[in-house]
Amino acid sequence: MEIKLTKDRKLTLGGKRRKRRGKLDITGVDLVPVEGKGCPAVRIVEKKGVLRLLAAGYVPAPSDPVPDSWEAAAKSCTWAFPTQFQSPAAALAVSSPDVFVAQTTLSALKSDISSGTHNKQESAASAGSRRIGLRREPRPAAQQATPSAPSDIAEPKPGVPVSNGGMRFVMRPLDGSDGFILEAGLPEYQALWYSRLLPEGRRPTAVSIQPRQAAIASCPVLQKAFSEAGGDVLALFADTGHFSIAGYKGGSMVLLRECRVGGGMSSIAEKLKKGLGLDDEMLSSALDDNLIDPRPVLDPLVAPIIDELSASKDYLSGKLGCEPKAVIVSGVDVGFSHWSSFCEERMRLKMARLDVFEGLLGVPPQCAGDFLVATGAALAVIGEEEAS
Amino acid sequence: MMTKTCHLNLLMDSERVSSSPVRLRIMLPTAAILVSVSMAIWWLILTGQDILAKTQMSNLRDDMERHQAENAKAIADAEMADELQSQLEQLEGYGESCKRRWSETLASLAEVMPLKVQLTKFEIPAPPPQVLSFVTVQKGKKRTVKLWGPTNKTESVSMVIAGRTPKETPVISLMESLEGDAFTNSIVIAKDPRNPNPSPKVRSFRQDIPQRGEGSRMLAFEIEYTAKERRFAK
Repeated sequence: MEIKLTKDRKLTLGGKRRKRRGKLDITGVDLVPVEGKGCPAVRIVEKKGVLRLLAAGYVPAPSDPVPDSWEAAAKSCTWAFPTQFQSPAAALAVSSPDVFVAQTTLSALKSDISSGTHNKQESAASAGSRRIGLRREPRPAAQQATPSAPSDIAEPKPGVPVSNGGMRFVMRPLDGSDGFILEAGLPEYQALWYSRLLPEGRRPTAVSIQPRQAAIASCPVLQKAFSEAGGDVLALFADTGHFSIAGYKGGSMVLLRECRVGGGMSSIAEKLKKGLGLDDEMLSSALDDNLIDPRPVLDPLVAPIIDELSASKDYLSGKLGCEPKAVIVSGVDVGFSHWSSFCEERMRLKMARLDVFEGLLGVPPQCAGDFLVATGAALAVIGEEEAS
Repeated sequence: MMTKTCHLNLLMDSERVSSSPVRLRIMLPTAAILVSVSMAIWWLILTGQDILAKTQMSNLRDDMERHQAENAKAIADAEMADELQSQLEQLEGYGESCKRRWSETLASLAEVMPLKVQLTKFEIPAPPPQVLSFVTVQKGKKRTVKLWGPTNKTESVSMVIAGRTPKETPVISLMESLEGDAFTNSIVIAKDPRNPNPSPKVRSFRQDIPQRGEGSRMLAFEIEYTAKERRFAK
């Protein structure tokens, strides 16, 4: 147990890691609010290996938006949760233009850190060639907070966040991925702002701040298709603005990359509506009921994404010796059967829809799609606690 | 199943705070301060009590010193009072035991008095004067010391009967009657000739000389009896 006596002094009692209690009660929150509802949140309790969904709903969004700079950040925040979400701990899935998740190598990361240009634009450009992932270009606001002095920090340790050059990073090695690591980062002032959202002494308090892209990747591990495939699966996460692909080998994530084509589900839906001449209400019924053949329009839209999946499958089988046996898809709510048939035709893999609350006891809400990220954030923490 | 999640946690350990309203980093110093203040107050109370006790002890000691002479005098007075009381009780005992009651003797005497005897005198002579002081010599000076009472524990008592009778016989009869059981408690009969103080002791037995010439045949007698001695003891 560690007692913070002052800002700089700590008193450590016993071992470094707190002994695991019998029950883990955590609330996962997606910091991206749903229009008119609030931030999706789920409360999951893990006891003796059994996961139970206690609550799923929406919590009011923080009163202040994510700051763009130190000056814009509110000095004190009080974010209150409804009673059903007042668990001891909360896992926050955050998103901002400055947050990034990238798959890179440890040597590249060390090189960036030692040069002190880890978050600089030129570094991003140079390291971009070595990275496979969701790296976003740093914004000018993030650059303002970057000190020019080179860093003297030691070699980063897995799972331990470090601050360098105004940015905060954390990395984890991808098991069996031949030296690749998964790296996430966000500006330091945003990390501090997120860490102060939930005040001390009131339930819940933050135990985890995760990028949404990383949190969502924890969802497939509870799926039936995942366990049936022995953990050798590909996962396609469809969002309104982009697609991302994750690869799993033996249950461990070994690949996470952004799909550079397709644009996102919004873009595909717009193109379908335009090509088929349907409005929003008709689009879903027409695609699901097979009243018309959407393939001439849908095929060119889905094909590049399936090609990306196929490339990822080739990467897993060729580089890592893993043969995926299924593709788990989330976010494809319209025309899933056509997506599945495309996938089966081109990749010879069955496509399974990701059920967010599969593997959890309790009564799930109807609009489960909103809670994907929140559930993934909570499951990531629970999975790490179980592993420890 | 759940052991393979990739948790990219950007929250530092130093930023993890407890959700419990009881915060050790606040409660521990607060408790330490409270304990210290309590100990200080307790110590102050003890110190105050110690000072108070010492002051009281000093006052008591002064009072004891001040009252010591008075206390000694009071103890002496009490001892004197006890002694006097015991002496008084002793004297009262002596007084009670030395009372001689002659009423029964007189009543019995009336019954045994012969008709031919005229009792003219019944006297209990006064005892010899008591020695209630003595002279002592201290440092060459004579000093008279007064006593509270007689120092002898017994006192001799005698009874004198005088009368007239026409002849000798009634007197003898009276003397015989006085030797009876009714007078055993008051009169001592000692007829042993070797006794220096015989009882009864006939003081006189003679022809009565009348003042105006009549009753010339009458005999006057005076007999002294030794009575039971007075004892000044219980």
